Amino acid sequence: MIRIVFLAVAVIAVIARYLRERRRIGVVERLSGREGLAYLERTRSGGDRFDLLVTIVLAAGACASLVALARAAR
Amino acid sequence: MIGTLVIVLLILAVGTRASDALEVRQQEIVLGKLPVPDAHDYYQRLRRRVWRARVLRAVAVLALITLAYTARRLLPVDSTPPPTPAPGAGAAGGAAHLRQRTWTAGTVFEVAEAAFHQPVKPSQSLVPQDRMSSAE
Repeated sequence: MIRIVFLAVAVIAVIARYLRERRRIGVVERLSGREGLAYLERTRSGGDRFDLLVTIVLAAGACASLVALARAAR
Repeated sequence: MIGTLVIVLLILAVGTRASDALEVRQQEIVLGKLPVPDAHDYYQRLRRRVWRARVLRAVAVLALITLAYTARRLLPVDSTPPPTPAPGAGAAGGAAHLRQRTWTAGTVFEVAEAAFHQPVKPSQSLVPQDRMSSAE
C-alpha cells in the first residue's frame, strides 16, 4: 500500500509540474517580452525558495548525522 | 522497497527532464521577444541561476550520500542470527524473539525449520515466491 502511495504521489507531482509548465508556455506566448519576463519571474520565485529550503534541510541532516557518527565512534 | 524507490526516482527524473525542457522553451520565447540589451541581462541572470541550481543539487546529492553512509554505519544490518529463546521461556518468550527479528526470506525458512524440526525448501514455503524475492 505504501509503495502505491509513493508511486501515486510521484506521478501526480510530475504530471502537475508538467501541466503547469505547459500552461505557462501558453501564457508567455500570448504576452509581450517584458510582460512574459515579469510573469515568469513572478511565478517561479517559490520554486527557488523551496529548492533552497530542501537543500538546507538535507545539509543540516547530513551534518547532524556526521556528528552522531563521530560521537558513536568515541 | 528498493525497487519502488528506484521506480519513483526514475519517474521523478523523467518528469523533471520534461518539465525542464518546457521551462527552457519559455525562456527562449521570452528572450526572443525582448530587446537585445534586456535579453542579454536576462541571459546573464539565467546563467547565474543555472549555476546556483547546480550547486544546490550537488549539495543535496552529497547530503543524501552522507545520510545513507551514516545511517548504514549507525544502524548496521545484523546478518548474524539472533539468539534463540531459552527453552523455558514459553510462548511469550518465543513471540518476543520473533518480533525482534529482521524478516527476510532466510529468516522465514529458519523459523519454519525451527517450528517443524525439518528443513524447508523454498518451494514448500507458505510465503509466495514473488513476496520472497521482494522481501530480500
